[in-house]
Amino acid sequence: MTDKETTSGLGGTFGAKTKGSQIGYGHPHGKALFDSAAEIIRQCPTGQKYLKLVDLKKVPVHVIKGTGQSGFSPELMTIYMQAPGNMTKASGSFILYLIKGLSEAAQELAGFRTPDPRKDIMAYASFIHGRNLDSITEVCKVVKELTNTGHFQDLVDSLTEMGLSGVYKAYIEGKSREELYEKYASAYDATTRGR
Amino acid sequence: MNWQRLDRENTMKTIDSVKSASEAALFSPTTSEVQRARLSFYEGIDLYKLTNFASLPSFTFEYLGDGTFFQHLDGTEMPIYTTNDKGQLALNDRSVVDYLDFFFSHVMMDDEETYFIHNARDMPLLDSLDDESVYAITKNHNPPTVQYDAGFDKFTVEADLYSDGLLIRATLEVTASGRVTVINRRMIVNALAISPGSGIMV
Repeated sequence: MTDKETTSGLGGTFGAKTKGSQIGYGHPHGKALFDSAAEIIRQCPTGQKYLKLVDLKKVPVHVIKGTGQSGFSPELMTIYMQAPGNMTKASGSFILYLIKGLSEAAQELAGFRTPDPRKDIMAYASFIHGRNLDSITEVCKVVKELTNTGHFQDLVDSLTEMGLSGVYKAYIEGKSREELYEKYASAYDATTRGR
Repeated sequence: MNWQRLDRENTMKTIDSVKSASEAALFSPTTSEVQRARLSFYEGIDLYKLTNFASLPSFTFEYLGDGTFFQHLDGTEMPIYTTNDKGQLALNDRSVVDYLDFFFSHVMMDDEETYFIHNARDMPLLDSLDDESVYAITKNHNPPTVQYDAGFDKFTVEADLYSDGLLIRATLEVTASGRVTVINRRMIVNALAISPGSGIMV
C-alpha cells in the first residue's frame, strides 16, 4: 500500500488506508526534548543518580508525538515520553514525567518487578499504586533539590497542573508515607474523574 | 466526552490500522482497549482513544477516524486540518464552540498548553486551585459567544482561555475549513496556579 492509494466508500476521507507503518509516531525533536530535560535534571544529585543508572543499564527512552500520558513500560523496559509534535524544548510536565519514568525504571532494575496482572489483578493494582506514589515522591525530591535554580517555579507550576501540588506540599512538610498516599489518592481521583 | 468501548473485533481492527511496526508492543491487543466518542462538528468522523494498560498512568493515543482511516492526533493542528480538508467538518453556532474545545485540547499553540474554558466548573486544574482562585475564575468567566460572518464564511468567538497560570479572554476566528486563529487576547486573572493562598510555596 502506498501513500497515494485511495479507497472506495468512506475511503477518501483520509486518502489512503491507514496502516500502522504509515503513522510516524517518532517525535521529530525527540533528542532535543530529552537533552533539554536531562540538562535540568542533571543539576541535582537525585537526578544525576537516575540519569547515570539508565545510562549504565541502557534503558531506552522513546519520545513519541501525542498528547497522551507518558510512562515507563515494565514489559518493554522502556520509558515512553509523549509530547506534542511541535514541541522543541522540554516543558515542565515533560521534565516531571521523565523523572517519574526514570524512577520507575530504577525500581524495576533494583529488583522490584511488576507482577503479572493476569495472575492477580489486585496484587498488580496495589503494586502499581505503591510504585506510582514512590516515583511521585522522587519527583518531589528532585523538584525540591532544584529549589535554587531558575527552573523551580516552572516545575512547581507543572506539579500543580498535574494535580500534585498537595503531594508536594505534604512532601516538603515531611509528612509520612500514609499522609502522602492520602494526597496521592485524592489527586488520582481528581485526575481520573470523568475520563 | 461520552466514550463507548469498542467490541473485541473492532478493537482488533482499529489497533491493526494504527499500530506502529517499530513500537508494536505499545499496541498490544492483550493489554489495550479502544473507545470511540462522537463529535458534534464532524459527519462520519469520530474520536478514537487507544489505551494500553501495561503501565500506570496508562499510555493513550487519540485519533480522528471513520473506523477504517485514522489520523493520529499528535499535538499539532495538522491531523485536524487534514481531516477538515476532506469536507466532513460541519460548523454552526453551536458546534463551533465544541470544535474549539476539541481543538485546544489536542493542539499545543506557541509552545503553551492552552485550555478552552467552555464552562468554568469544567475547567481542568480547578481541583488544584485554592478557594480564592476558584472564586476569581467563576466570577470573571463569561460563556463563549459566537458571531457568524456570512460574507467571509467564518465564525468569531469570544471565549476564555487558560494558559500558563493566566485566565485570558480571547477573540478567536474559525474559518469554514476549521482554521483557528487567535485574533487578540487580554488577561483577566493572573497567576492562578501559584496564587499566595494556594499554599504550594510553603
